[in-house]
Amino acid sequence: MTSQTPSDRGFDPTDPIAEAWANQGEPDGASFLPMDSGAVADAVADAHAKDRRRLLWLNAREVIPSIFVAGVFASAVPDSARPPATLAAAALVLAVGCFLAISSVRHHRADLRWGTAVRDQLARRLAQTNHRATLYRTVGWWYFLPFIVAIVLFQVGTGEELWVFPEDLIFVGVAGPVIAVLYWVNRRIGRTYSAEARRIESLLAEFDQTI
Amino acid sequence: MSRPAPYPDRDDREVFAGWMVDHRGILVKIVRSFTTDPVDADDLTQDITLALWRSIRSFRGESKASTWIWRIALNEAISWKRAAKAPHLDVDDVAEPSAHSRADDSLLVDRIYAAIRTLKPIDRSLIMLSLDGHRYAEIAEITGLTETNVGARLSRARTRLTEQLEEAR
Repeated sequence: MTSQTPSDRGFDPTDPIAEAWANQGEPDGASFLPMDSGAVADAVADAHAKDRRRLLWLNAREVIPSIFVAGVFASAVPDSARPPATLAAAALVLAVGCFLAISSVRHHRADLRWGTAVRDQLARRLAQTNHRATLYRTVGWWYFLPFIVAIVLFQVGTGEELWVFPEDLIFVGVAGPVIAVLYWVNRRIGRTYSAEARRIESLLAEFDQTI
Repeated sequence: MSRPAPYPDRDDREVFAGWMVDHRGILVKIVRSFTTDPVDADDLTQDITLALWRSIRSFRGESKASTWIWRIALNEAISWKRAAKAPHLDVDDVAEPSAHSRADDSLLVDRIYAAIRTLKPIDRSLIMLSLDGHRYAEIAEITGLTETNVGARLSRARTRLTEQLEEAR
C-alpha cells in the first residue's frame, strides 16, 4: 500500500476545513435519522414491504383492465362463438402478460452487467427508466393494438359480417372509452418517465464531463 | 463463483441495524450536504435507508461496508429529486439558524456544509469523500470516475469551496 501523501487526497488532514469536518458533532437536525438503529431497521423493512405491495398492486392494475376488456369481448359475441372467443381473449391476456414478463426478465439480466459504483448505478437507473418509458410510450402497439387486431380477426374468422351484431356496438361503446382512457394514462406516465430519463442523462453527462 | 455473504448467520435487520450504528455519520453528512429543509431531509433519509435495505443482500463483502454505503447513499442523493422545491440556500444563509444548527455546532462546520451545498451534486460527493479522508483511488472506486478525473474535479471543487468560505467570512 502506498504511503498517505497530501497529493493522493483532496485535503491535507491538517487543513482547518478537514480538521473541522473530522471533529464535527451530530446536529439536532439529525433527528431525521433516529438513534434507535433497531427501530430504523424495522421501519425500513416495513416501508420496503409496503413498497413491494404497492408494486404488486400497480402490476395487477395493468392486468385488470385487460381482463375486463377481454371479458367484454368474449361476452359480446353470439352464444355459439363464445367458447372460442373466451379462449382467444384469454390467450391475448396471457400474451400481454408474457410480453411484460419476458421484457422484465431480459431487462433484469441486462441490469446485472452494471457495477456498483455511483456512476454505474446511475447508468442502471437510466436504463430502467428508459425501459419503463418505452413500455408506457409504446403501450398502443403492444397492449391495445393486438386486442383490436384479434377482435377483427375473430370477427372475420367466425364468417359473420363485420359489425352487424348489436353486441358489437356495446363492445365498442364500453371497451372503446376504457381503452382510450388507459392509453392516455399510460402515455402520460411514459412522458413522466421520459422526463426523468432526461434528468438522469444530464447527471450522467455531468459525470462524464472531462475537466 | 460469487463470494458468500459476509454475515451468513445474521439476519438482514441485524446487519442493517449494525450499519446504522457504525456508519450513521455517513448518512448524516450526505443528508446535510444535500438539504437543510427538515421535510426534504426526512424524505432523502428514507430514500437512502430504503436503498441500503434493498442492497443489503447484494453486499458480498468484496469492499468495506463503509465503501458500499457511500456508493449506495451517494447514488440516491445525487439522483434524488426533492418533492417540494426548497428555497436555494447560499453560503451566507448559515448566519440564520438552520434546521441542523445546534448551539455547540461550530460555525465553520455549518459554513462548510453551506458551501458544499452550492456545488454540483457530483462535486459535493467528491468533496465529502475527500474530507472524510478517502484517497483518490478510493473515491474513484466509489464514484466510478477515473483517478485523474477525481483529482482534476476535486481540485476545482476545493477551490470553489474555499472561495465560498472566504466570501462568507
